[in-house]
Amino acid sequence: MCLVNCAAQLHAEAGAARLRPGSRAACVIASAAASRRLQFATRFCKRHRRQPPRRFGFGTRALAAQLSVRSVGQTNENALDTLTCELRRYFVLRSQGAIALSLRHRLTVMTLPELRDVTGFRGERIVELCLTEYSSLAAPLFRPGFLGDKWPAIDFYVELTTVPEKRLYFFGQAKATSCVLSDDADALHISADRDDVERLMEIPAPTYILGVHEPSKRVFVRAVHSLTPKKAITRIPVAYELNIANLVRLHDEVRAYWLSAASKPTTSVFE
Amino acid sequence: MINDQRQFIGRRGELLAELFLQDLRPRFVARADTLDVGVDFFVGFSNTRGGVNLVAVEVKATEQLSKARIGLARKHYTLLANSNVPGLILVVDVKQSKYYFAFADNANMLDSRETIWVQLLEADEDGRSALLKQLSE
Repeated sequence: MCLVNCAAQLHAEAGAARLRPGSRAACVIASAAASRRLQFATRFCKRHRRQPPRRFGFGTRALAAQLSVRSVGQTNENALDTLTCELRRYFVLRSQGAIALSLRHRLTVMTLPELRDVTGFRGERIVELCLTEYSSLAAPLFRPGFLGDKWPAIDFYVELTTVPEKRLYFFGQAKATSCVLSDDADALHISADRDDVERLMEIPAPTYILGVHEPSKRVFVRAVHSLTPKKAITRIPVAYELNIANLVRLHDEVRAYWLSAASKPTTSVFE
Repeated sequence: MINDQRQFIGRRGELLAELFLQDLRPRFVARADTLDVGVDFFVGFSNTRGGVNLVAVEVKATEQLSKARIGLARKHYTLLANSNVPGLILVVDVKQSKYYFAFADNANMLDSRETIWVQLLEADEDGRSALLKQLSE
């Protein structure tokens, strides 16, 4: 039995990028310039721009452990603030007691007062889980790496795990939505605008838009290749859901692309 | 390769656990990002008295779970069972995306061995309801 303790060191940059504090501040700084590529449609199908990170608790290093508090339900901001203060106090007391905590750790607080803000965070996780699904396979087909909120055009670098001595890959842009997806719906509605599509087409590698229906945790895929029309993509057929069969098809498609193309230069001026 | 596999299991377990906890509709999920906190998450649930029940969650990820049991180091278990917040052990089967849980309880401490074996309940529909009820009381 292989057991892994899911402690903090395992989430590396993906977790750090998503868990950076500041969403609460971002609500205040509405004019923040950074674009939010993951434009998650809400239940009202409203679009939200990605906000820049902002550190909370800076200068309060004595406040013990680092926590990222994320509200996921109906939030009473005052109650949450009170709780946060209590947590701070608890850790301060604890740090003065028998269990000493390092001073370099800080208490970072991130509250997301609306459920729609959580959609994005959950969407990224759902994509990663979907791509690593292997309940009916011997091993996962993909190894996704989240590139962070600030990387232009793409959210995920995804490697194929099955080809010996090659690390083949594709890029994915995630679009999460919590809009209704009825049982008889023929497509998931997303909002990838013309710029998104054009930026994906500039990347000389297989690129896909990964539509996430957050409430049902279903992921749908649509390719953006050189013959894709340069216009907004607003729907992904439900037939392109990333189930096991389509994961295998996606894997085979990417594999076939790279095996038919030279993936490494044969000369260089620096050799 | 083994490290890759361990990292993969850990990462997938962590993602599944976080989504699982969020699906329980807590008031908040706080990820403990440093090792010395000793647990992976603090989660707060609104209780019937208008307050918040805080629970410390320790996540374990595995590819195969035998007999719905898991072994924990005595030192770690002691920390969970003797803290001023209840300690929830959440075990994730990352291959089948199944969840199991148990609360750290001093009753198990009678076992003198270094590894304490904990009997788990599956968090299927019924288990999840029972867990949520326990967390919100």
